[in-house]
Amino acid sequence: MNMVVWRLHRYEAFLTTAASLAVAAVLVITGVPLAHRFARCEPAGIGACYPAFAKLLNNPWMTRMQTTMKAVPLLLGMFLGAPLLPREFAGGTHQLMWTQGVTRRRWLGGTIAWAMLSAALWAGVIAAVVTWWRIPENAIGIAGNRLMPGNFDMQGIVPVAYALFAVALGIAAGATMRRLVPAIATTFIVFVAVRFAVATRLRAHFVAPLTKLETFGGGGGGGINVTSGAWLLSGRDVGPTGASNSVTAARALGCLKQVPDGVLVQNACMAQHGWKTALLFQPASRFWTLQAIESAVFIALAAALVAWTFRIVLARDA
Amino acid sequence: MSTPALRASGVGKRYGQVWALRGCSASIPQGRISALVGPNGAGKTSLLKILAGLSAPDEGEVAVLGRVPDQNDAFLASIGYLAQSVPLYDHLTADEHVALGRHLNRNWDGAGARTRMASRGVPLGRPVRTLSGGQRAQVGLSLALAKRPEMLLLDEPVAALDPLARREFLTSLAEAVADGGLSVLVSSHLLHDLERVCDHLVLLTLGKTQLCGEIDDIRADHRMLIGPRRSPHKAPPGAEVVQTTQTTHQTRLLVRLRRAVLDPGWEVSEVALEDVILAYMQADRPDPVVTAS
Repeated sequence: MNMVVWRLHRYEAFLTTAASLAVAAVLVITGVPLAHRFARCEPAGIGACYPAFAKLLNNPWMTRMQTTMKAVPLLLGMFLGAPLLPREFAGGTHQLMWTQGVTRRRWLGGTIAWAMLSAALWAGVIAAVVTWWRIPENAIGIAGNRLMPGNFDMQGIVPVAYALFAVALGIAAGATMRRLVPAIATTFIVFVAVRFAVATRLRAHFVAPLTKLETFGGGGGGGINVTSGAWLLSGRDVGPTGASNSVTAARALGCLKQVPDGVLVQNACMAQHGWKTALLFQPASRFWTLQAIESAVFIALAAALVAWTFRIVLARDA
Repeated sequence: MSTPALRASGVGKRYGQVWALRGCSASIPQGRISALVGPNGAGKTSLLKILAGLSAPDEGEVAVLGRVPDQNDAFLASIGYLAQSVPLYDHLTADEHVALGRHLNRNWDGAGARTRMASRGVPLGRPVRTLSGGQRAQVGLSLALAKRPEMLLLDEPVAALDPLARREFLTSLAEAVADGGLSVLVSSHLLHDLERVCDHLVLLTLGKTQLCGEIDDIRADHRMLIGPRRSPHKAPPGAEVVQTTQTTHQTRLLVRLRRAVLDPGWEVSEVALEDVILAYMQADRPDPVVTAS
């Protein structure tokens, strides 16, 4: 099947390779000056890098480029995965293929394997370059560190898992609906929904977050700030007995101060009474653990979609 | 007797609530070109797809050269199938299709396919989307033959062709069968298209087999009986009425003879094969057409 896939899909292969290399080239071209600048300012401390990078990274094109990077897996799913089978069905060429000397199972296996392998390769190349490109920015943290939502999603190994999921999703949608436009639309909707759900609901809890108690209302983040590389999830007030309503407690403790607009909880007073602020966070050291778990989740979803595609296509009448 | 090239018994295929085929039985001999004839919607495509292993019957059984159509190497290697629209990869050339086939089939006659196409004037190096309908059909046939199949299944290959391309296509087909070892089932909505090359007929209407046999036998078995007007049910013994036409003075019966008609009240004449087939197609309609002129 390898030669068959190559003969049928080499134009897509050329096109996607060219597009991936172009994206990588843009990243390298913009990344080299960033890396140089970072090497110069870093020895004087991260703070020294801030002014120069703030201007550079606030450039709208930088933001747009990073958004595009995050869309790479989705684009692969929509334009590489989803059309794969509907194009055969539309032209009737599946009938030509399914009456040749290779079984439908082998034909499908070869086709899916190559689509997913090449998607993983292209997404991997881009993710590798983005990971390098992001080194200075991760450290300076103008738009958050690498563990934070949005940044986490475009570097490391998760983009490869997203690409595998997106392409498997596209192929499964194409196998099920048999028509190109609905398959592309479904791929878009399902991919965005699943990615959003995992990023906002699940990721923070893949591993139980750590809690750190710090001075009540301290605001200093207790060292859990952006440059520490940690991902701060939430902060809440806790009393010495475990109570959590600080305003009620403040009233009882006499820590409320009248101000013209209402009342103000006095932090120092509360702290004296044993109140603390509990910070819930994922430490910087968990970056690769979270990457591995999230990748495993998406690869498992991709495997389920491939199994579904086999079921549909092998049982289906031409 | 050798295994029939194809045997179907009680085959049914349902799409939703509609049966495209129901109780379809047929048998065709090896080494011959058989015509699968029927009006549009008779179930020809459904039957061919079942025979090619592209779809599974909902009831009944089929065997192609003694094998049940299935996704296994032996069956797939034994059949050649050309779908109705002659599906090809539009951006590839005929030559590239032949090269593709080499990777898909163990026993592949690429050189033969190229020679066949070249001799029919098919440009091998142009994308197939630029080819004429006739050239496209030749590419499809050449690819199907390059598999060196034992059974070739062709779904309305000449319907879209002009008379010249049609003749060339059928000539190619006849040549391929003359080389030996090949049985063919070719469908069309009109036998007229295929009569020149076929010697066996399967007539399908509304998903059922109406006729299955040697074309010469079918010709010999059917007669037109013409007599004074009378009740159509008064057909002579040994004659099975296929179609009745009443005019004011005459009754015409197209019958299938079980034995010779000796009733002198009937004038017996031969009928053209085309008329026999049309009679069967009409007979299966809910309201038989009876002209009264």
